[in-house]
Amino acid sequence: MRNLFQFFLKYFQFFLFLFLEIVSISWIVKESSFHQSAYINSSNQMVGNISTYYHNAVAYINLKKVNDSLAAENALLKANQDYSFLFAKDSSKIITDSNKRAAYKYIVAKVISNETNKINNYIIIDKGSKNGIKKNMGVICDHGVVGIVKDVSDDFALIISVLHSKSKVGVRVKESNFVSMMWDGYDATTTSIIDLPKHVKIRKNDTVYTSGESWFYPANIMVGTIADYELKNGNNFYQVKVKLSTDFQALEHVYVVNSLLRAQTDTLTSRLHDE
Amino acid sequence: MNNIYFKLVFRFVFYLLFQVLVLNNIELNGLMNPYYYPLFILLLPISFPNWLALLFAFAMGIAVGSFSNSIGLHSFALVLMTFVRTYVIQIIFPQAKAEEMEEFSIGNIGAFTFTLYTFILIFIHHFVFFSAEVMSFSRFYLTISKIFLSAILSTLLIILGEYLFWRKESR
Repeated sequence: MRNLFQFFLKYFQFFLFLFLEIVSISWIVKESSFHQSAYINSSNQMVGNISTYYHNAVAYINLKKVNDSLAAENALLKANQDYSFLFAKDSSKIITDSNKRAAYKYIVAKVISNETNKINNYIIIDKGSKNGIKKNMGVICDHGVVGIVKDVSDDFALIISVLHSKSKVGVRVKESNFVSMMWDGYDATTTSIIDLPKHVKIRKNDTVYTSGESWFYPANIMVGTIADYELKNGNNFYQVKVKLSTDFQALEHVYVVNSLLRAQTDTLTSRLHDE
Repeated sequence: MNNIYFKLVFRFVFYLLFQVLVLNNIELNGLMNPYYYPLFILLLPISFPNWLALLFAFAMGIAVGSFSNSIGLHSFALVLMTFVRTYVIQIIFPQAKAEEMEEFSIGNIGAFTFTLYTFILIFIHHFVFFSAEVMSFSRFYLTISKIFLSAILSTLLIILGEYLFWRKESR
């Protein structure tokens, strides 16, 4: 027993080293999974507060750009208001829009921390579970998609950016079906699609939209444009490079998408798995 | 004795904030992400107990990692670097005596030796960090160039910072 004790004392440093590394590895494994997070992450209250102070100090640098994009969005929304439309034909009937129902609600939030230079990038916003944000909600901005909520605390939410090695966005190009868009881990402005079948005729600068299929994001939101594509001989799928319309390096305001109908599809799928 | 721990805590906070608030926001291109905070470990005195250095490295890794959701990656790389540091010191300064080198600084041990010491350990840290971040060989050349360019940039930053602070102290 005494020998054993002395053995441990002699190699104390080495065992401490080994212990700390094993703890770290278990955290790495946890963090690299898409749905789990380690106990300490940046939606933690203290980390969130430090990031907020810092963000408040430097936010004015992007202010002009943000104002311009918000003004542009306001103009777009005004154009969609009822008073911007006239009836094309004179008619005595009043057409009410009873055949439409709300499918999505949006919660506006401010980005307080954002990164683009890692392989796995995350974003923190200043709204949390107090404001009704839940796990797995989609996040968009005024001209593109941003990511999916991974974790929430009372006042902050942690978002997996589209610029994440495991992120997949369901998109659609022209009449194509649902294909998925992924990030290569290098350039913050481009992503790629590798499963677009070759029968779809595409051209450069074609717009890529969300498919809306998984209910994370509403359908037909612009994601980006095709920057480049190639079709290798004997291959059935295009290799497409997409230029993102979201400017991840100057992200300021985002909208968290509360999908009102997803609860129903989720229960249906879970019933399927229960059987 | 109190003095050195006070100094360490100050340095800990300073390097942490400099890393997460300044360097994490600087974007040169996708290949250059400098990490300055390992300097905290690099500057520990030789006589400093090694087990305590390991614990400090672990704490520093958690603190930096909590800002980018990678506490595991940062603590893994920094603890490994701290462990290897003992052997690197033995190789680079074989005749070193603990009393003579109470404090590491560029004026104390010379610019060349300091650069060599810094680059070796920073390279080890970056190598471990970036390879663990990718977790696959699929982006081999990208990762290798990222490791080299970032290590060179981090070393340059550290040397530059050391020159600034060392001159101030000697006056």
